[in-house]
Amino acid sequence: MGPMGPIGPIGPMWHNVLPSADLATGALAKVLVGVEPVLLARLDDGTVAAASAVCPHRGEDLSGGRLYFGAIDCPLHHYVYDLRTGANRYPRDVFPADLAAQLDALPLYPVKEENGWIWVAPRETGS
Amino acid sequence: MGKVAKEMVQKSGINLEELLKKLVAAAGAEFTTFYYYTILRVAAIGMEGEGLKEIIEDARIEDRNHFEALVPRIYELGGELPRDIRGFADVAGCPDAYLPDSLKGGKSPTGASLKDLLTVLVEAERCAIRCYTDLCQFTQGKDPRTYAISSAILNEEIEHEAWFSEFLGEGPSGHFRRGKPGASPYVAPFMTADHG
Repeated sequence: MGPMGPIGPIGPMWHNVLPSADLATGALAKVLVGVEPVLLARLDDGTVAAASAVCPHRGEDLSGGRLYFGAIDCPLHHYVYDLRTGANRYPRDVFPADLAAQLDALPLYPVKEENGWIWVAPRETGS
Repeated sequence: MGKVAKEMVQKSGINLEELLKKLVAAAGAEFTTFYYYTILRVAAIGMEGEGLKEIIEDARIEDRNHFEALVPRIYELGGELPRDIRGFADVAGCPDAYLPDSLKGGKSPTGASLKDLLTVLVEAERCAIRCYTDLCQFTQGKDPRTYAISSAILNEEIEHEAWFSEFLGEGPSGHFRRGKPGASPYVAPFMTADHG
């Protein structure tokens, strides 16, 4: 769990992980939810996305990547994952169908902003 | 390996292991792209495909040149290429630029299949642009030689993207193509062997 804010957890499953003011538009941050590294991104429309910080391709730390049109661009092999759906965007759009079908999606986390904090809930098992 | 050259980079605050990982990934992407672009060039036939062939050839040869320019820097910094080429391909910094399904079997690119071919090409160049932008930002103000090589390659990748995206109707066009195939006007000064 991240640092405790002045309000404390709103519900039993939500973790307050970062003050909202600490994540500017276009910025990335890495936090822990339990033991899982979670990537936070403030998208161009101001909303916050939360996803696994571990690239499903080869395990690279995505917090060293860059936002790329609402997606995260892995810093090493440059696979691109949509931060709203988790779907692989590149190379899925150019790979032969059989290989595209094998590309794993980036797991997303429930996220919300409340009382000046960003809150993330653990993923449900199997999601 | 250059002892002082390596030490200066380390003293600049750069994580040398991370930099070498990025450089080997970039070299891997260039090498695999050279291979895949050979296949894509072969597929560029017919009334519409033939017009693409020479542009693919320019990009193909320049990607090989990028590989040639990167390798000395990897060894100067104490790194090395993977001993097994299969492992090299696996760590390549951009995905494989496969021949699209719509062109299997020697079909001439036309209509949707021509667009599929161009999309593979333009997205490969966009991946390369992200790769070298990252390398430039990683080395800027700290490692002038790696920065200069990365910046030179980035200049050519940006031109490659423009060539292919303009075939997709994204313009207008602000440049001309190379005077001779694969001339590498930006990267040539970093190539230590005669590249013809």
